[in-house]
Amino acid sequence: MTVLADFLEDPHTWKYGYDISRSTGLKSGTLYPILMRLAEHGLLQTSWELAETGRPPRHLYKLTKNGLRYSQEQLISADVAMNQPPFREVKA
Amino acid sequence: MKIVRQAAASILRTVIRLASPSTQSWAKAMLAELDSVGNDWAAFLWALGSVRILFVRQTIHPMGLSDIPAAAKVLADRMNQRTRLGSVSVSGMALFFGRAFLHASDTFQQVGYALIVAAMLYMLFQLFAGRPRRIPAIADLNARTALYRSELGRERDFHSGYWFWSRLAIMMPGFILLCVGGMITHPSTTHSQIILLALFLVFSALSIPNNLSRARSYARQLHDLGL
Repeated sequence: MTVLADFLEDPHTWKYGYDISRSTGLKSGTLYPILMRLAEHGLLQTSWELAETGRPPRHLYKLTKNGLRYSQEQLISADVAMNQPPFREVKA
Repeated sequence: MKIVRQAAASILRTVIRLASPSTQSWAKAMLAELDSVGNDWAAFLWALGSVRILFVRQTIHPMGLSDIPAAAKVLADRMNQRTRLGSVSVSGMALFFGRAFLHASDTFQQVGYALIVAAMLYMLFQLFAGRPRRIPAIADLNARTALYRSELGRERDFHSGYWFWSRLAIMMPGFILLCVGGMITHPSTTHSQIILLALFLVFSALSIPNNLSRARSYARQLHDLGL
């Protein structure tokens, strides 16, 4: 959910893995399996940036259209769940 | 601190070598990020995280016949990765216990070490026998589907039935003898030997539901493929 929320902050911008890790606070061993699963389900598109001289090209990530829709739905349902009272009153 | 960063790069390169083709690009992506991590120790921790990629199980459940080649490839990648990782660790353990056999102080321990080495060699044999078959480049969809079905069947059998139980059974006597031998030779280490034996039994017990659930998952995939 944290990763999806991070992508939703600027959904049309390609992001680097390390930047996502810093902004979400997730360690690489947690973040990358999530990114892999998102890509596997067609929710995340990946791309290699063009090589610059002297440094290796980096991998970029952006939500797909399905990913964007899915993330918005997930965040809305999480928001609704958060705002619900913990116990429902039972009327006698 | 240069050595820490070099160690981080070495870890990532090893992960790239050991990763299956479908996960390799992710390990390469992590290596490409390494230069952007400013702190050396943070870079080292970043690289350590990449080891988890090796254990991410990628699966494709084919929704139609057109998905079968991709699903077969992912399955073959996973089987190949298991063969690679398993062979490295089992060979390492066989060498370790083989060396220990030469320095064992009593017969119990010698027999224990020898049985463990035999068990490791048997596991190595199973790993090689369980590696995926090559799909001929000219194979049509029917042939690929048949091969995918047979590979799913082999995977189901690898995690259940004779293959699994023989793997488990052959590991038991060696470790038990080794710990018993340790208790007899060095009575002062009885407590640690009991803990070691208990840990081994717990891990062995945990491997039963884990393997059987994998076998059930493959059986389900086979069943779905038949529909």
